[in-house]
Amino acid sequence: MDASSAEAATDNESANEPLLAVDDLHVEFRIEDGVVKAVNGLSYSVGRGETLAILGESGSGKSVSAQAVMGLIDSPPGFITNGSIMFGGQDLLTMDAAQRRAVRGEKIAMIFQDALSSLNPVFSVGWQISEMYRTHRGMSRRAAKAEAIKAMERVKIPDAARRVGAHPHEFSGGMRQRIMIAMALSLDPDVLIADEPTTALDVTVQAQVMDLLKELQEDTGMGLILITHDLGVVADVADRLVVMYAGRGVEQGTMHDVFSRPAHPYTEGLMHSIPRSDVHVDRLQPIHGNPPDLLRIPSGCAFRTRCPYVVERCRDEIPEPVQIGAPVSADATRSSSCFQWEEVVGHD
Amino acid sequence: MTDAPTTLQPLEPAADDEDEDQLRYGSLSADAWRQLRRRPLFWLCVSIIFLLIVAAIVPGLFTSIDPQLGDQRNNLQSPSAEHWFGTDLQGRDQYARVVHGARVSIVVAFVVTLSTASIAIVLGSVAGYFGGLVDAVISRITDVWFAIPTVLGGIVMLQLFEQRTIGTLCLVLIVFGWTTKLRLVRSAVVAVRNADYIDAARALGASHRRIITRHILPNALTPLVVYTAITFGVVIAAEAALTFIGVGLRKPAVSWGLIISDSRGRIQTHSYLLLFPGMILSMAVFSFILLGDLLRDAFDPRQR
Amino acid sequence: MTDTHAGTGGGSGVDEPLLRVDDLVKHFPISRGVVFKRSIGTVKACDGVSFELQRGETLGLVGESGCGKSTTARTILGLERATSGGVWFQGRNLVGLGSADMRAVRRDMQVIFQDPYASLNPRMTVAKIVSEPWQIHDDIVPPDRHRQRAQELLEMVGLNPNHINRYPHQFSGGQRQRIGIARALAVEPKLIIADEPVSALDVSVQAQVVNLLRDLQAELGLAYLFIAHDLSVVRHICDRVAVMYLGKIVELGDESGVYQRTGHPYTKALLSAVPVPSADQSTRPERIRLEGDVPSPADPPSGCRFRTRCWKATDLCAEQEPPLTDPNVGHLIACHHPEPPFDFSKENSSTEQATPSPSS
Repeated sequence: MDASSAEAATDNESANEPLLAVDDLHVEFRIEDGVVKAVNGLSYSVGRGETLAILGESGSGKSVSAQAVMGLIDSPPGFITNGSIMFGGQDLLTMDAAQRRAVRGEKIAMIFQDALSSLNPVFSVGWQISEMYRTHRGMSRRAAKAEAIKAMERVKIPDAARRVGAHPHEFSGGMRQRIMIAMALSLDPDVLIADEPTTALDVTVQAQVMDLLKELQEDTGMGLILITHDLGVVADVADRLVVMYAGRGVEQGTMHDVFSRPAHPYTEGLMHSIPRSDVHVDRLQPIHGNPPDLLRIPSGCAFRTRCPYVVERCRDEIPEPVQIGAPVSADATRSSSCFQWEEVVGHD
Repeated sequence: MTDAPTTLQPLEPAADDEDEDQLRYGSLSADAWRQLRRRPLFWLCVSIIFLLIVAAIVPGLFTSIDPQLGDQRNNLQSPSAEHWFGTDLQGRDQYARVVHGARVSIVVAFVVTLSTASIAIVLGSVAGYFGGLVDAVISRITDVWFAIPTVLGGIVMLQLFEQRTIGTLCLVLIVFGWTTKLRLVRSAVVAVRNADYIDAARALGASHRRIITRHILPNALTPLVVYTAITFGVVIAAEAALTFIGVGLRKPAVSWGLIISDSRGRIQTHSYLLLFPGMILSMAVFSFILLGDLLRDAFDPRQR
Repeated sequence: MTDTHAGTGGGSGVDEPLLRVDDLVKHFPISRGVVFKRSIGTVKACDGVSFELQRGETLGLVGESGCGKSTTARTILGLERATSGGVWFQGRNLVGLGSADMRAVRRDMQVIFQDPYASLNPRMTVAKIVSEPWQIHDDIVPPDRHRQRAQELLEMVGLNPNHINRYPHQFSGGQRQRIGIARALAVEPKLIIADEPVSALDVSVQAQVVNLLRDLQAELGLAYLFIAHDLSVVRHICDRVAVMYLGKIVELGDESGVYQRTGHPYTKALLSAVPVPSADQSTRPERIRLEGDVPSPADPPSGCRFRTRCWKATDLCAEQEPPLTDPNVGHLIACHHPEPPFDFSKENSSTEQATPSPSS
């Protein structure tokens, strides 16, 4: 990656300072029917070369939180009502529009689930990749095209020099996602946010794309934020994870810690409810009930209506994240937003 | 068989569920109605249309003056308390003529619009649902017919008739007015045809007739309803236009087109003769078109 | 139609499977032109598929997108017209059956769709959706009992029977899927074809629906043809599994055989690509990386269709199509060079140490 630009971003930070730190983020959408509280308190950080997974179901606020980081929330109806997003020593939320644009794409890039609708169908993929170099780097057409071919080779698109003139619909789903990755990484961002990047792909292709992301991360040292609902993918690639439920980060920690000893009833419930391809379980243990309507989130802990550990207190108080230190975990970031977390950890 | 297996998951606590039954939810048309009734413009359009319909059915409610009865001594009078819209060359009360003229416009509008919509629903759903050869034949004929301009076609066809009544006028407007609606219905049916709930109905063994009437049409008619409201206005304007250029109704019939046509030589000297009937005509057309727009907004969830 | 209806008697002999699909082929013509359509090729979506399904059994049909699993299901259901081959259901060939006869068959064979948002008519209340089958087949439930019976069905699938007058959009995805299941159960079928019934649902809700399907099977003796791309769900719910690739079945056998004594290289690669949701990654089979994409079903490779991506491919694979046979492993594999079973027993013993003893 371009060393000078990376340096500039991290210049006045110490080495183990996170690249990107989100703190107590709140996002809501004011629509005709009421206020949709999409994100109600989410904090996380991601460091250089680290993969952080944000795990959640639809409506958990995982994608909205990423859009907030990218500055993609239309206002109105969307409003960021609280929190900070620190990047390179600055709060993205207090920056003016021009500064924000300089960060978006250049320093923090994003890829989406649906690569076909993210690419413009009327231009060739080479043109779309090279546009990044022309507008952001001021390259000539010819130089930008050469860079585009290099970028396509980097994401392992076979026969890149010949296919640079092809249009998005001429590529398979997996190849289109590679093109999206090539575009996102064209400006050597420090952080890549991948929003369900493999959900639309078949398992064998999904494995290829995840391998590619891992490899590129090792090359560039970028921080990777992986937004997904798939516990298998998280276990496969994440270093750390945040579990989201009804807009809150309910549990956080290293992949190994969270998967081996979940400390929030929701995380535990998810792990018991999914079937596995490697072992045969006799009966799944589902989480009861349905995810809440974001217009009418239950009082107190949003998970209490579905929670087997529920106590009186859960109805009245919103549980704040508590740090779970030794002896349960050696990880300083390990936390759970549950009054009963000790019960949950003790239970198997 | 009536006992639920005991192993089934318990439901959400019912208390959390029940208060959902507020008016916030309902069918799509109930939602649209909820939105429409809050718009003052909607009520304005509905009132104007309602008044026009009443005038068409019982013109006597609005005026007791005979629109055919002229008094040469009182010709070409400016609007006054006695003659609100003034009087024409024959001394007939212009207001009474406009009120009585509404009948032609409304009858033509209803007959033409409902007939073309029926043709469109039947042929459009058959073409869209069955596809294949039936679709190819219906669609190609529609395309060719669609290429003929309505007004030009109308002029040519009306020339063929010696006697021109409301019936002939309706016939001509129907003949040239169904194509757009048919294309609209057909494309909506094609869009709905591949929905999973259609396959579910087929898998249950439902007949074609049942699938079309119960599953496809209720989900495919919204664009037609919206467009039909607009065509009410368009048809009223077309009738006036054809009559104005002299291929529509003839005297002694009373219609807005004829009234406007009569006044055309006097725009400079007696502008009120054109102004009032013109305004009423525009208001009628405008009300229907606006109603169509409001309906579209209300039925289209993306607008919300 | 009452006299032609063979549902209650069960029809045929004891040995006859409930469903026997025999060399089923469905090709879609690719045509160009607006007015005069001419054919320029065929998509071989389902190209000679054979399997049997017993009463009360669940057969999984798995494969990646474009393998033809959904086309196979739709052709069995009669939603698509078969190009050739036979679909024998309760001893009767459904291919070429007239619409009146097919209507009677549909009482015994129902379907659940993937997308709970698209599979329910948005203009109908739940009561109308669930009781529509009884208007089509008017001898099942008398009209005055429609409402009561619909409420019983809702209760059976775990919904509040008081919600019978609501519209589909007032329910969550998982609840809608239950409505779809209730509609399928209304005709008291013997076979339900479930086309990806849980893949559109949230993770926490999937397990509820999977358990519901299993409970209903135990109670009503249903047979399922379970179409899915998710190998984990299939392993959990199915007695037997058929793996499809490019319109053909490449491996077919009981659940433990296909998952533990995997014989076809494609099945092996597919299983190895599924990430394991566990801190302990040792139970995951060794990763096999497949290169490239699935070839177009309009122009499949000669011989074995998987050979273009197979690490074991030889000249033989290009020349001869491998038949679906049992190479002494207890299930069927369509491969010239199947994985030797002893290889897997070794790997399996290490697997068994690490996991709480896989049943079966």
